[in-house]
Amino acid sequence: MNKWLALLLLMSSMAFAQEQKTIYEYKKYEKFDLGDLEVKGQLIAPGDLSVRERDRRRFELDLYNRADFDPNIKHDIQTLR
Amino acid sequence: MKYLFILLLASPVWAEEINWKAQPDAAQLAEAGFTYAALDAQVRHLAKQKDQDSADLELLEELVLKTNVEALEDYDRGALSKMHVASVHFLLGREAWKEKKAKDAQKWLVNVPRWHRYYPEARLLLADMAADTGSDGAREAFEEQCYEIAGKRADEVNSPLLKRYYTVLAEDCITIRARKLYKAGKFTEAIEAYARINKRAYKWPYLLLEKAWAFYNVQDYNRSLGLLVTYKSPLLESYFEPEAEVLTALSYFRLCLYDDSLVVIDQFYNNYKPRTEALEGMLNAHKGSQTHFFELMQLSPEQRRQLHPFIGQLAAQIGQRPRFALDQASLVKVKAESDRLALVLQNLPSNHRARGWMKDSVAHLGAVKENLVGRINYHAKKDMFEFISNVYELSEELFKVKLEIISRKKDLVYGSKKLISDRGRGSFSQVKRSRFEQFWKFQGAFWADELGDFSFGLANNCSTVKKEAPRE
Repeated sequence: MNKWLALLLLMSSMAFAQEQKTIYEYKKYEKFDLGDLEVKGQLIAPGDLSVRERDRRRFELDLYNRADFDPNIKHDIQTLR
Repeated sequence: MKYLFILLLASPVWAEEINWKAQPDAAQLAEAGFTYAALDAQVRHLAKQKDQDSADLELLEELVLKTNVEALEDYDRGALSKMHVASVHFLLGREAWKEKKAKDAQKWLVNVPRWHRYYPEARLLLADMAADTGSDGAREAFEEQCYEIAGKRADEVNSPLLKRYYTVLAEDCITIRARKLYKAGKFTEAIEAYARINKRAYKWPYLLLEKAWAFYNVQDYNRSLGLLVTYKSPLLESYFEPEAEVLTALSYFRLCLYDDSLVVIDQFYNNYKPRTEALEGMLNAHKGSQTHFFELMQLSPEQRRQLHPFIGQLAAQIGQRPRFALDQASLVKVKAESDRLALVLQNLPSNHRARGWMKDSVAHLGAVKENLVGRINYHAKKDMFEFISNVYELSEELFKVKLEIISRKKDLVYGSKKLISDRGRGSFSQVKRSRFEQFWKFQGAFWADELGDFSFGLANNCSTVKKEAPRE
């Protein structure tokens, strides 16, 4: 008799639990003060961040320069007569 | 008196009185004043002879000196090479030089004796060939001989045409030295050689550009700019050199005055490009013509300028050359001779024995005249088209300078740098000067004396400094 009563109670409590809805609620806003955060440990790398400046490869154009005046010599002789 | 003689020669009455043979010889024609016809007769006569008589050769020489050596250009070279006359040797040597047959050219040209009219020109050609073989000693000797004799003859002769020819020739003889030194990379010596050329020389305006190149190559950009600005003088209006604009842009560029360089480049594109395109269109329309450019050269300066601004200037440059003056003078002589002979032929009885050769001779003179017109036409056309092609080539070179300026300006921006100073007016402290160079301060001097002695005083702007970060 007692056994039947305990089983009845268990089943009725399970039926009650199924009827309740679980609601999850997240935090809408949380503030972090980064300045206030402390990291404990030992410094093993240089502290400053740096970028080394590199010269760009330049391709200079071969600009005009007079190598000789041979055409002028020829022209002068041919315009003499 | 001289005009009376010419009138007498030109008189048909006088010509009619000659007892013309069925086939007159060169001596009779020469005596009657038909020089070109006589030359033709003499060449044909000598070409048939196995052993040439010295009197015949002397007459040939005399006739060539009267007509100029170009009158022989159309005859067979093989036949001419058997005529041992200095003028003919000179012609054969010059033709071989044109064809770059140095050995043949030397063989003929060394035969021209010192007393001969063409001696200085033969020495000039020999100097050119000696320079190409690297023989500096021989080149200098030929140059000196050419310069000395041409200068001496220029003082001696009375004919303005010949005087001009010898003067220009003497200038060519000293110019060749400067040019060969430049080619060898001896720029300082080249500058000294250019300095030997007098400001009154015909060639002087053209040589300003060459001298400016020599200064550019010794990195004296201020002197280079000073020489080039001489072309802006109203006195040198007809000597316009597109290459001078390129060198100006390059000199500013080397001083890192990029904005000045860009101004010159833009001016070049705005000034030369549209005008050259218009000129090209105009010239192309007459490309195949045998007379258009000859006719252009016969127009007055005002008429030419109305056609196109460049035509007036180009024609003025061509007209100043001895070749043009000599060709024009020869044309006048041939035309007069041809007209006279035609008149004599017209007045001869229809059954006269001389009619046959006279007809041939008139036809020959017509061909000589046509050749001369064709020659003037060809050279004027060639010079004008060369000018156009030169402008296009230089415009490409200027585009490269522009690209390089843009690239350098970009480098400055990326490197957060700027050029050391803004463009200043320059100062005397920047002017380099040899002890032979004039130094004018533009105070009370005659403006024409200063031409060719200008120098800019711009500081080199190529050092850079870090650009300060903009303040917030």
